[in-house]
Amino acid sequence: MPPREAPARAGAMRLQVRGLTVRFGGLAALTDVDLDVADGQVVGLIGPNGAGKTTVFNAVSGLVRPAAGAITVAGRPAPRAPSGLARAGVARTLQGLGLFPGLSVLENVEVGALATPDLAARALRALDDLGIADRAALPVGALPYPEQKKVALARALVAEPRLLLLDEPAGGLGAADIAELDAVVRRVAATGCAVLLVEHHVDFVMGLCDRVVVLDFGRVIADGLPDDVRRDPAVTAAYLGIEVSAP
Amino acid sequence: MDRFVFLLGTGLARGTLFALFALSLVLIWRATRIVNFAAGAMAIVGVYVGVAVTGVTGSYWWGLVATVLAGGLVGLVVERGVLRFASPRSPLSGVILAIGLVIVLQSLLGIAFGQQHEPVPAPFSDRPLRVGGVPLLSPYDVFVVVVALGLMAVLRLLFVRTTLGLQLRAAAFAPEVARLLGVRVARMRTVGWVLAAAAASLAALLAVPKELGLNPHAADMLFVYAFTVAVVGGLDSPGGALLAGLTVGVVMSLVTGYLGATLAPVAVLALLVVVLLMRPSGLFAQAEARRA
Repeated sequence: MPPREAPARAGAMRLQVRGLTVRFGGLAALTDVDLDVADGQVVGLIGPNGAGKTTVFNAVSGLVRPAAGAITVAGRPAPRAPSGLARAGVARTLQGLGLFPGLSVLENVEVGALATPDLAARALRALDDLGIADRAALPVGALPYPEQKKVALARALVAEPRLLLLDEPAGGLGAADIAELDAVVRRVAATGCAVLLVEHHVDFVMGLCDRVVVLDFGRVIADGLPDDVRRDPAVTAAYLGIEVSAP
Repeated sequence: MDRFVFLLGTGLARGTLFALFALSLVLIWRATRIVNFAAGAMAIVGVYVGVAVTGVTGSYWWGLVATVLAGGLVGLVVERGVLRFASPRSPLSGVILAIGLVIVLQSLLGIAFGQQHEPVPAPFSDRPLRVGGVPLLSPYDVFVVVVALGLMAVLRLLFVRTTLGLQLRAAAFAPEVARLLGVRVARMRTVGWVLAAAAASLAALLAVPKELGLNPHAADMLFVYAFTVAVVGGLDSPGGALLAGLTVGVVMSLVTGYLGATLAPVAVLALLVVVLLMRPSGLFAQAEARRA
């Protein structure tokens, strides 16, 4: 996999997180987290289990109320409720699948772009972009897991978001599917969409992302280019036992 | 044989009413995971309004429209005013609120209108038509079947063909995910209750002329049978409600005709027990939906 070119034409700042602090009861899930994602940029958010990666997503999505800090999307305060996300041009996938079990593949994708005209045609195009248009009429539960992952991705892409939040997009996928996912994310970023992804698969993150942010115990312990982050001793310590190999 | 055909016909006619009422229970179950034990009492409120409107205007049809509208309004008020506050963590909370609602609604109706059975005339003749000497359905039975199946078809189109229907289903299957995608889940819940309550009111209006008449408890047995139908069909399955409704209607009709009316409720409950023993999630439950 060739390294992504550094975003020569890095666009305007799409997502800006400043001093984000989230507490669950007495437990600080996130402490003073700063994070930036520019248009066309792919940023990876990594860290050991329980580091607070998904909590960042939930705060950006309006699912959890921060105790302190500011989150802006394209310069405006992030929606305080998830229902405002789509209007703000934000789409996210969920850890696991988060599909609608009783709906067909096409219908699952349609829910991702409710406000747009030509819903069905648009959803079909999104499926076609990921090569699963022929599955459109099937009940979503009938698909194998990697294809269900694609449905979830198509549902996030169908609204043509300006900021895409991917929660463990490579989870449970094999090497071939991950390579395909890598190509899709590059394609999406090339259209100017800002991408923030949470992922355990370190090789995938290091190969794909322009920048990598490492969380540990709710704090940012590293933020930089993949190669720099990889060599950071604090990161190695946090990942003790997890080998960070060269791609 | 003539007798069998007649019983089959009336059973199917009755079954469509059970199916329509059961569909109301299924819609609410899917949207909120609450078995609406107040469905009968709520529906009867709509029927009282409809009968009053018929009394004032002299037109059955205005009364029918008023029943549906009033039923929907009752659904709106009940969802917004009462059941929205049911705890999502405890399935019993919604059930207990609904049972409390039954007591309140039936008491209020009793205070306002009394407990006596008020006859409600059917808009069409209730005498069976004879086809080749064999008594078949009455014109009123035909009317009931057409209206009930028609409404079910309209609801199906709404759910399958429209964006509103897609949102209703998405919100029912995975509310948290739907909310993230911009679906107004609370509003969808309200819409579901309004549709369900309107359908149940219409079913009750259609059923009343075939029963003793209108009183605050007039839909109680309809609710019991519809509940059986919904469980037999699988609480998640609108198609199951239709098929199970027809089955229960025919079983009741045949048992009444051949063994006596007193045995009919027993037969229906026996059917429920057998289904629950063999397929606890109902005959037509979608395994997928259940995991939602």
